[in-house]
Amino acid sequence: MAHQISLFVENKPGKLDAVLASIIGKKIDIKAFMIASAGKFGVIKLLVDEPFKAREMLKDAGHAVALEEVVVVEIRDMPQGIKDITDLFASKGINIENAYGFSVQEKPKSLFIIETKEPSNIKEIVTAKGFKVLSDAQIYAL
Amino acid sequence: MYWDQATETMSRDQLEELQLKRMKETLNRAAKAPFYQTLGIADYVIKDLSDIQKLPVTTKQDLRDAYPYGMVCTPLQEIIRLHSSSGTTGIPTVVYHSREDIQMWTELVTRCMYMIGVRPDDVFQNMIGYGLFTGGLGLHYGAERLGCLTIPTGPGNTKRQLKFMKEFDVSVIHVIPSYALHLADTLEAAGIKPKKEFPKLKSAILGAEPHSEETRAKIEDFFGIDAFNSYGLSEMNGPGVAFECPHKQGLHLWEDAFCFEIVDPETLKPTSPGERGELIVTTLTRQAMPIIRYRTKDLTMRITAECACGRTHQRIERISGRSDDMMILKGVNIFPIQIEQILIGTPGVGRNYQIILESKGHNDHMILKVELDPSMFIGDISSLEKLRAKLIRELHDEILITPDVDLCEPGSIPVAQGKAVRVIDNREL
Ligand SMILES: [Zn+2]
Repeated sequence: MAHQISLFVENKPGKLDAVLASIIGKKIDIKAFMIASAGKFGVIKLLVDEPFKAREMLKDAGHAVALEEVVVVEIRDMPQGIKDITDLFASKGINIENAYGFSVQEKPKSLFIIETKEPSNIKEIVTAKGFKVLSDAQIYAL
Repeated sequence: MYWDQATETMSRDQLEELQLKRMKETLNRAAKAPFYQTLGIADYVIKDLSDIQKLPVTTKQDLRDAYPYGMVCTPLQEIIRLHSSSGTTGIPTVVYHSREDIQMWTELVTRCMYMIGVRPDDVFQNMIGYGLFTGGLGLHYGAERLGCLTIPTGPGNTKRQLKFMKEFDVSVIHVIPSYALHLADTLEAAGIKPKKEFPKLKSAILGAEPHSEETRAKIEDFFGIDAFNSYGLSEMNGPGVAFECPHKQGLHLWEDAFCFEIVDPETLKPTSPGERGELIVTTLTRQAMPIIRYRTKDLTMRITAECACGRTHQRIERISGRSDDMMILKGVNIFPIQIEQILIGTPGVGRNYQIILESKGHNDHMILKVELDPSMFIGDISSLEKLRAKLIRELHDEILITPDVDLCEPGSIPVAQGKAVRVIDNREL
């Protein structure tokens, strides 16, 4: 299973830079990131090559940080691939907490990241339908 | 159980007689200071203690206007020390002490410490600022006079504080309440059990910051100790003005050294018993720089009932705020301490906060900035929104106003040292 870092940030100019500065250039590579915003604050979601190490670094820098298991599914093409998955979830009556997608540059591949309270269930369901679920190492190897 | 039984348990009649005698001496001395000369203090006649209400009050601004020596009434060669208040801008307020003044101050602090059970075999760690600030040196002199092994760590350097507490088997600490909570957080995060780590620790003296009963309870519960409220201000020496006895039902204000009044901050008329007001204090033994009817701006209440400890000196209630800290929003009086209480009772947020007041059209509006507690963050935005809504609801229940709550990153709000400036008023007049 893959891990995602969640990071609390205030919605202010420069805040994002300041947060990322505590991991960038310190041998942590960010594969993807997404910002969920709620007015004056937000939560940054990060996929990085070494999530456990990155969490410790961010924690030491004083940030509010959490590490969660997420289901990362490989999909062929962006709009249709995502629809296939959401249709699948709808048919099974599964609730998704949060999800986002991103494309891997220079490769005809996209990833769909799903946050859920029961990651192992979701993993079974999507693999049964023939989707590939990626681990931390596999994401980074893309 | 008393350091100075004769003084501490003196009958009210004797105590008031002593106060009257010392009040007259104080006026005579003050008449030599240029500031009180201009006020014509020599012309005031004091026949009994209630005549004190006829005397002019002294404000912090007066002290500034008299800077540097306008309040001094003895030759400089008799003065051995000065302390200065933490004013960050403009002219500082300076208080001068003769050798006798320092001795009296030390005596009062020793009395306080003995009262809560500090004895010569105690090891005392003083985590409050030394230097111009009176908190550190005041307790330091008292502890040494009592005969404690005194460790002058001063504030900060949490790692070293905890190391010293453990390795020297510290039994009594003097600490700012917010720093005591910070020590608790640090220990909790490291999974250290305070009772095991500091088996000898028995009491904490909480000074330099008004705090709530909830804060005291939190400190006592976490460390498994007794915590006592210490009140003082640099104009009245510093610590040693009023202090809780083991019954923790208000602070005995040492009336042999100070004469105190509680007045309405607007009219300066005495409040009725059981009514809160501003504390006004007159020095009764100060030689180098007597101060008459000093407006402390601290809000409290007089407790006239006899205390079970047998001390006859009247008590004041714990400081509930400062008259200049009080915010009036939409006609409602609000004290920062009310907000502090809510924050302490809300898991998920830190205790450091800032209040910003703004005008929204013709209305007052409050923004409360509070830090997220990193250990409670689970990564999703919906729990943050719930936390924010809960804070708004509870604040509304307490202060009857619906503030905006901004959740801020941990460590982003400046930590308050001493008496904090937590309120930023940007309202248009
Ligand atoms: Zn008492």
